[in-house]
This record gives sequence, structure tokens and C-alpha cells, in this order.
Amino acid sequence: MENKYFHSVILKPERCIGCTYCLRVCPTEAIRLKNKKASIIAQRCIDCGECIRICPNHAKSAITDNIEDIKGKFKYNVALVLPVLYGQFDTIYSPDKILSAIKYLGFDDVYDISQGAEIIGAIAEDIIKNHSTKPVISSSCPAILRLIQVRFPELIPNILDIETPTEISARIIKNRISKEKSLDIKDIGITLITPCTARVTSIKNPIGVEHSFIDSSISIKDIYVPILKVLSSGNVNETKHSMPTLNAMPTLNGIICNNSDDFSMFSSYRKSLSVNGIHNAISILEEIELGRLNNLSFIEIAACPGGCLGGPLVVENRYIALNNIKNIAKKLKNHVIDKSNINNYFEMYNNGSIRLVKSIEPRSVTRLDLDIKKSIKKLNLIQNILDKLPGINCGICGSPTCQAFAEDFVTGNRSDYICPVQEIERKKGLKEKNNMIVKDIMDRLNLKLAAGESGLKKEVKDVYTCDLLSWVMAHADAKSAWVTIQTHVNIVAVAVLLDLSCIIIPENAEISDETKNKADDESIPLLISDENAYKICYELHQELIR
Amino acid sequence: MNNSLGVGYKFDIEKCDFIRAGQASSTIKKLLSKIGIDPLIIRRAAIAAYEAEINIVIHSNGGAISININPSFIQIIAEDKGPGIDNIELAMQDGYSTAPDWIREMGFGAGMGLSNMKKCSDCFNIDTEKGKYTKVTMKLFL
Repeated sequence: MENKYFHSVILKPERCIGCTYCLRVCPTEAIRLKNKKASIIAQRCIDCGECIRICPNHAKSAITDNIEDIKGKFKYNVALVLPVLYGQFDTIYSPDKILSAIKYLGFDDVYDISQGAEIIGAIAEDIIKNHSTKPVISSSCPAILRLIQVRFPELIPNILDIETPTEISARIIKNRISKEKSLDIKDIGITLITPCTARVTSIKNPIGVEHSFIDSSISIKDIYVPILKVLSSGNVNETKHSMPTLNAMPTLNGIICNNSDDFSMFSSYRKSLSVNGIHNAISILEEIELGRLNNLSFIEIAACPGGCLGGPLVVENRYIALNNIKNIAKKLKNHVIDKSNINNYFEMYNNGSIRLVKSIEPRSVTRLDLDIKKSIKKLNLIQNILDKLPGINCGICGSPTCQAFAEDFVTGNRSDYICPVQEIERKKGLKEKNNMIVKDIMDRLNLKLAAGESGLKKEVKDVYTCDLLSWVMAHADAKSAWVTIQTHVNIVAVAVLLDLSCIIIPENAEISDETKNKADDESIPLLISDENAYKICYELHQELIR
Repeated sequence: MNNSLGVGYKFDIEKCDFIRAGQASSTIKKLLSKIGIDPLIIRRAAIAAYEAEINIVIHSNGGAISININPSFIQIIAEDKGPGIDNIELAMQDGYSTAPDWIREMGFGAGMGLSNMKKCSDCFNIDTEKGKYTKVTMKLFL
């Protein structure tokens, strides 16, 4: 397990109110509440950004860089853009204009990832055909690759052995600029304008490659307003960019690959499927695991709803963004992938420069113990605990589900064994067991005992008030405290007949000795109050419902 | 069903419940990965359990899948009330199916279930009585 795993998703504790929203949506159960604040278990987090998307208090955020810091670090700074960015703006701003605006903000050059996409588009069909483990799963969404590492390690062999369009583009750009400008590769910095956290994490912890060719990142959210200011100021001219960017439909398809069904690079393939949204992704991966999709050759999976257009760090609503992209696409020429360079691309693939050369390791985080025997024991213990829990998965205890609560306890990840729902039930039970007795009422309402001391331990379950004895006879329930201004001896007889607990006389009304003697004989406590009947009843009500 | 050596679970499966079919095998898969079983064995166990689950859903009048995991092997037992199997040898053949068309239209009933279950397990046994029950016992050694 990686201990020093870098994560781009972070938490701002001062904003967290402990609402449990994020606990429920986290696909790897990586979030716990500790002292009423969410905290992320680093080994489990796949940086999908679901928690950022759902947090109503903006307590979840992403570590990205800012332009000024980046400028100081490298001699030559290049911004790399995903076409998702184009969809964030009104279509009066063409992609070329948007790219120019980014350059204006302080970059030496700016590109989008279309070249990487073009290369993948050209060679993928053959690679997929020859891939032995079907269905082949697209490698383009880093959050999905991490999800596979954590929850579906058996499917690692299914991952398409080609780097992401972003990585491929970054590599080509760096190498080319280095040659053209005679710069050391180290002096060229590539900044990804990112729609998601998963790609930010991949800069420091790439999957399937030794190191990333991208050096830093700025979220679309952070750079949106600066770009818009430049665009609306009219300070930039639309310049054509040096890379083959958005001049053709297939390229556009390519660069928005894994973005949405409408723009899937592979949608023309027969036997392919495109899935997006992390929870849909989990169900489809489960199906693959059970061998139900062996007849498919390729599956493109994106963690975000609607693909990268629904990334946690974008600005525009993804439906509007998709519409913008569609409108941009309409203006482009229809164009076929340029296959004249295909031999070069295959050469790049074969020499390993665009492949996942480093093996992708499973990150099994759910394992209870390294020793199978101990794991089995722990599982038994978990089951025993789980049988006693309410099973409503409320998350109030700080673990996302009752199952997670039991596991956290058994694996030592939580020290307390307090289920808040069980606590409420327990307290309710206590109240039911510890019924009030006459003595409790006497003490709490400050009543004077006039007679019937031997009945002070009688249980009190209800209160009744009325001064018409025949009415009382007809309606009062047993074990009630009876409040009445009548003081004559017959009240004791009524109390005995109905098995009332005690009689409370309001406003210090005088009681005859005959009544008192009778009450002593029958063990019916006679209690006297300074207050009137209304106030006595009010206070009794408070005592009994508490 | 707990004992000191292993851990056991039982999942009731209802007749024709295609919506929930797969839940038992999915849970079994999660349990096995928690124990730390080799992913390839988990995959075999999950597929075996899934095929058994689907068989109960398609062919029987309801039944249950139980799993017992102990340090040396996993045992999966699928037991149902149902029509039983007429001819086991025939049923084991790839592609032989008694499933009606509407089930085939759902993508099931290809006649691979039993042979797939056998392929995934190290020990495989069918016990059945016509008109009464079918009990499939599968063992996967760790």
C-alpha cells in the first residue's frame, strides 16, 4: 500500500459541518467523520472528485497551481487544454480565440490534446483487436483506472495498453519544443488546464508510466474568469495554432473521447459501449467481472457523469457545455483520420513511448488482514456486530455504512463502538424501564405528603384530572396520578377501585382526618400542592414525556 | 453457520427475480476480497456463484446459495426447490439449454451455466431428484 500517496482532493475542515453527504457518494468508502469533520483515507481515495461535486459547503477542494508560481518555475511555459474547455464558453468564442486568450494570460504557447487523440484514434482499433483479454477497457480516465486498482483488480489485464491523449500530447509537445527552440526538456513546463482532480493526481502519481510529462495544473474553475476577461476585452486576435487542432471532426471526436456518448471516439466500432458516471461505472465493471460482457470488444468508461464535461472542476452545466461543443463541431469540416503517419504511430507504440510500460498494481484496500485465518475470524466478528446494528446506513456514526462501521471497529480504524441510532433506542428503552413512581412525582413537583406514605412506590403511568367522581369512575385509567379538588373520604375509595397511583390536591385545599386515615389504611398517597390543577397537570405532563 | 475455522453466509434466491440476480455473487466477491483471496480465485468463485444464482432464478421455484470460506477452500452450495435435472450428462454439455425463448431474449439460458460452473471450480457435484430439488456443490481450493 502506498503510504505517501499524493491526492489532489483535499478537505477544508473549517467549512465542513459533518453533514455525511460525501460519505454516501464516495465509491471506495474512503471518507469517515472524525470529530464531526470529514476526513479522507488516503489509501482508498481514487481522486474521482465525487465528494467535491456533492459538498454543499464547498469544504472539499482540489490542489492545483496558480499561473504566477508556474511562470517562475520554467523557462518555457506551455498550457495544455482539453476540449472540454471550449464548451465552457459561449460559441461566439472560437476554440482558437480561447487558446489565444490562455496564451495572453502568460504562457509561451498553448495546445489542445488533439494530436494525442488523433494517434490513439489511428491505432486503437488494431490494438483492441489483438488484445487478448476482452472486453478492453479504455485507459483514458485515470479515476476509472484507480477504481479498477482498488475495487476490480481482476480487470487490470483488460485495460487498453495506450497512454491517455493528454500524456501523449504532452510528450510530443515537449520533445518538439525542445528540438525547435533548443531547450532542455527540464526547462519546458506543461500546465494542464484540467476539468478534474483525477488528472491532477496523475501528474505526481501517474498510472502505468514512470513519470508524467505534465508538470502542473490549473483547474478550469480557476482560469475561467481570467480567460473570460481577456476574451471580452477584445485584446486577443484569433491566431491559428501550430498543432493540428480543431480542424476536423474525427479529431474532435477523439479529443472528447470518453466525454459523452455523442462524442465517443469509438462509438462507430461495433461491439463497443460507452459508460459514464462513477456508480454506473461500478455496475458495468461488476458485469464485466461476472463475464457477462465477453461478447463486447471495447468499453469506454468515464468516472464523471456525462464524461469529462461533467468533471468536478468545470464551470458550465454539462448539458450546456455539450451543446456548445456540438455547435463548434457543426462548423468543422468532415475529415477522416490522417493515416499517412500511421506507421510512425505504430512505431511509437511498439517502442513503448505511448504505452503503459509500467505494470498497474492492484491497490487492495478492503483486505481485513494479511493472514487469511485472521481475516476469516475478523469477518465472523464483523458479522456478529452487524447483526446487532440497525442496518439503515445513516452515516451519523462517521462510517458510511453499518458494514463499514463494523469493519472499522474490527480493523482498529475506529476506537469507539457507539452507534448513535442504537444509543437513541437504548435511551428510549431506559425510559420505558425506569417508570416513574409516586415518590419521583412528589420530589419533582415539590408536593407535601398528607397521608398514604406506604404507597409512595406505586408506579405512575398517566395523569387524570376531574372532580366529578362518577366521571372519574368511568374514564380514569389505572396507575394514573389523579388531580382533584375533592377532599372527602370517597376519593380514596375511587382511587382504590380504579387502582390509581396517588391523589394530588391542588391549592392547599384542606383534607379531613377521616380522608387521611382512610388513605393510610389503603396505601393511597395523598399529596398537596400550592399550585392550581392546571399547573400541576402541566408539570406532570413535562415529567412524564421527558 | 459460523464456526471457528471458517465463515459462512447464506443468500435466498427467488424464482424469476432477474432484477436482483447477481446480488449474491457480487456480495460473495466483496467478502472474498476482504479476506484477501487471490483475485483470480475470486473471479472464478464469483462467476460460479453467479451462474448458480441465475440457474435458480431461471429454472427453479426458489432456493439459496450458501458459501463457506475457510483457510484451505471455498465451498459454494446452490440448492433449490424445483424440477430437478432430467439428464445431468446432457445438461452439462455446452449449449444444451432447456430455457424458454423469453429467457434467451434476456441474454440468459445459453446452455453454458453448468459447464461454466464446473470450469470455475476444483470439485463439482450435482445431486438432483426429478420434481424435487437440485443441489450443486462446488469447491475451490485456495
